[in-house]
Amino acid sequence: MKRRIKKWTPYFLLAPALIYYGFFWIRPVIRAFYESFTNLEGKMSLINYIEVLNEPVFKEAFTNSMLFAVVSVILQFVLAFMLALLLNKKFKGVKLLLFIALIPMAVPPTAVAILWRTGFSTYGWVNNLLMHINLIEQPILWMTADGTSALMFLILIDTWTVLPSVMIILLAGLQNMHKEYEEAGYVFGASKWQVTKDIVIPILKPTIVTAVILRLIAAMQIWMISVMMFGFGRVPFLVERIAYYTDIVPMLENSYKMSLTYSVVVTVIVLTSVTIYLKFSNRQRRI
Amino acid sequence: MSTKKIMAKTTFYIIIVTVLIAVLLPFFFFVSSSLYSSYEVYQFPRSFLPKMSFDIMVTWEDDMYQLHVYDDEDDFYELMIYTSNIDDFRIFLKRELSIQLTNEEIESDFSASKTGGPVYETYKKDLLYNFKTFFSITNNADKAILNSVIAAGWTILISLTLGSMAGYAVARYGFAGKNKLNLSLLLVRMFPAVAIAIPMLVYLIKMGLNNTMFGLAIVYSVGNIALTAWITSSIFQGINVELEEASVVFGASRFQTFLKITLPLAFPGMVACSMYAFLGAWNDSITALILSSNNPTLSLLIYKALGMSGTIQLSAAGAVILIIPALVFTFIIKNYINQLWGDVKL
Amino acid sequence: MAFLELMNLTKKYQGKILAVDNMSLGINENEFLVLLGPSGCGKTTTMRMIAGLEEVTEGDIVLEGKSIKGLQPKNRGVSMIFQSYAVWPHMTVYQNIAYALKLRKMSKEDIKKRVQKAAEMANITEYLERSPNQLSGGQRQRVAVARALAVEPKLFLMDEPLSNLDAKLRITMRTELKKVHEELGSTTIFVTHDQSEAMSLADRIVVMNKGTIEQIGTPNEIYHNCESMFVANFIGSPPTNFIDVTIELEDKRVIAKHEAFQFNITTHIKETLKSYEGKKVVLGVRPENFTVTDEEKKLFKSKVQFMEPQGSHTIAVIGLSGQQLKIVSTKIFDVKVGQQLNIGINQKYFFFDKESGERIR
Repeated sequence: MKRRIKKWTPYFLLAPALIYYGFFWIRPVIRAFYESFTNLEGKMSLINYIEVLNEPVFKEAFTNSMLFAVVSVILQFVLAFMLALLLNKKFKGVKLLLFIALIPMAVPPTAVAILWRTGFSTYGWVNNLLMHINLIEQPILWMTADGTSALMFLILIDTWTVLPSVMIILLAGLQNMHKEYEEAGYVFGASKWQVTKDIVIPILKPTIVTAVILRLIAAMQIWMISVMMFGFGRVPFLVERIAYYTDIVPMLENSYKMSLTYSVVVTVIVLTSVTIYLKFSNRQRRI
Repeated sequence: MSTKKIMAKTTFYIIIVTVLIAVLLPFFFFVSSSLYSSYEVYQFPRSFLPKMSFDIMVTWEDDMYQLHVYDDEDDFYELMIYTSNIDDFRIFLKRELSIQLTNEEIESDFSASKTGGPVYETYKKDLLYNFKTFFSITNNADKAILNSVIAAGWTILISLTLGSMAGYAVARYGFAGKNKLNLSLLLVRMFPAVAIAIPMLVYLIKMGLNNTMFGLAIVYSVGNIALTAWITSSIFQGINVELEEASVVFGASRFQTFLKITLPLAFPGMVACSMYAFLGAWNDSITALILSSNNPTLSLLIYKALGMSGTIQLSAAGAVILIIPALVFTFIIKNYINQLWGDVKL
Repeated sequence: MAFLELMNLTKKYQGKILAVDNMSLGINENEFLVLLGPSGCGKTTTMRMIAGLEEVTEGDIVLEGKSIKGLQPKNRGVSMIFQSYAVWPHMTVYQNIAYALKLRKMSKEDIKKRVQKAAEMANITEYLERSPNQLSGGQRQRVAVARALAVEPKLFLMDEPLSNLDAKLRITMRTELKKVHEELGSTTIFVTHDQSEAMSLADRIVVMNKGTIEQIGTPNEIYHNCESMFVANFIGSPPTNFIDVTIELEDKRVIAKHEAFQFNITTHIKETLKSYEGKKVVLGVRPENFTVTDEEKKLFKSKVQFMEPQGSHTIAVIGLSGQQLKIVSTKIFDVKVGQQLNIGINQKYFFFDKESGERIR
């Protein structure tokens, strides 16, 4: 009897979360799938997908989302790793520096947008600062940027915000790694760079994969900063379309179906990207 | 010291300074933006710190008060308005310069200009003017703050309870499909959160939970239970099983052991972990827009305010309030990075 | 000049915590030197400074006549076996051993030969293609040894390499390390807190305490000729018994007096002890230097409080004026607790200065 209870304990513990997901995740997701594959009369149809794919803005939104994800994840990983290496050192004030470096990760997207809008508006503090230190004569019109430069602009802002959340995962990995692995590298003839490349990164790989995947999933769903900085439609993203159909034109006959169809499209794209990344990183040995 | 060492030291300090500038500078200017009066916002270039007071000169010409404000960049008194109406005078001082005076004070201070030439006065600026205004024009801001706190509270409660149970199962027991669980928890985050909210609206209306914070928390918890399960399993793995076994050996039940031994040990880490749930709820605005537009949270209120008002310094004031928990969060979490993320593996 | 010379070596952490204090030491070529001491005595810090893993605060380290202070670890020509072995988990055993050789830009064939040779010496040829997490602790230890051997260093550093092994394996590996050392004649510095490990491996032992050297000597010197109370207490199990006695002079005799006994000092130190007249000094007697004797030759009588049989010998705990003494005997095996014993003392006792803890010679 006792033994049987023991055997079932993990399932009892998991059950509440799984039931929760059954009700509040799987149900809406199935609903979304169902709606996306039916027309307005409720008949099976691909009409929503045809409409989504034929939207002139879809291609741009797709390219932007992909470009944003690839560039931002690479940039953020490299910077976060460097920062984590720095913060893994022992020096005076490292805790304070860590605290300061972490602040942006907790700032709400709304606040991030306002922060940078007060900065990059024509009479904002960025221009003010640049003029004070005599770098420019006339205010720069930052917010008129569009196309690729606007996208890069958003990548930088996003990087400012999420860098610490990538960094802490890597930092935890570094701190949990046994110091002697690195030291052995040094003693047996490796330089700092070789130790990082040949020893630290391979041992840290599971952590790196975790951090990158979490970031990848979030980056492909970017939209808020774009809308808050430039408004709807200036730099379209896939999830921005969902918000567009929900927030701006919720009254159209097919708004509901359009936003859910976009959701399914996004999920499929994210799932594919993550799978490709996992294949690519080929998860050799688990340590 | 060798050149190489000096180079390394220099790079080290350059990186540190860059980090400090990248984080603190925007914050400094942002907070100071929230303290600007409208007049200062349109001055350009302006000083880095908001003004604490204004020097004002009033003259009397053509049967009207002529109000001048001293411009320290160009060192002269700039004419702002002329009016014979004391109300206009008062409203200008309040809206443009964030100076709060009554009609009587204005009369008594400036009537001398009618006979005796220019009157010079220095007035203290109401630094918190934007914050006060933010609360008064968005008529339910205090309710919204309370809403945000309640929504966050429910989210923490739900995701920590369900998430840590699952996390404990992962950390301590073997079961079928354990290897797949971590990846499938990721799946939850792949479906856009906004997209969950749309069909959920129908269900919440059926349950009578639309426009309630509990309803919002249900949706916020979706992404957070998975994350909490991940992180808490890392926390529990960091607690030596022998501590639990010792308790069982001395006669406690498994449940008592969890309550008396495991939970107190895991508690600090779980508090830090709950900050993720808190922020998930506190930072969201779009889910709230869909599910609770009639009963907004603070974040939603600011999201809306940014859309409607042209006065950026008001939004900045709202956003400063929104950021305060962020500081608390980072202050707590910096000590628990290892406990939280140390054993997180896919 | 010795092969490796530590000159006034000092290490301070954060400018104030003194880990190693003005330490000077010469190590000869082919010597197996053990740094022994309790945790926190600075022995590991000393080794890490030699390896280049820890910066030297003051002093110098000279290897073969050249200062290696300030050199990167990789340029020092040392190799190291770590306490946790630090066998890289993402590389196979072969890759682990070959990594250092690859960094030295050796040809593939040379690497293969060296790896093969090192693996043979460490007895791990059949595991070369395995991943470290498929190996037991002892096998990983061997990989660490092979990795250190393969680079053919000027100096081997071993930081408590056996402390993570179980007792039996520890003794096997001890013998093997000694064998390897004898075959190669390599200069080795070995850090441990385990005295029996130190005794069995070392050509010379350096006993350290609070960042300074207490005594340097062969295992026998360290045991039989302790220079301080610290060494007498730290080396030997059970440790040396310490008894406070007063020195008195009667005629030409020098007497050590205790409330329960007194005896005539006949060895050569009686001259030095004369200057201690009327003062208290510490008498140190190793457990095996007490004798269980008869009524006539006894120094004092004492009741047995506990017996700890060890098989080959017996440890008896006896009382002396409220103090507990441990004696080791190979003769008494069937003594009961509470029984009275006649205790004598042989000539191998030490005297220590009560203030400084230094040996009185």
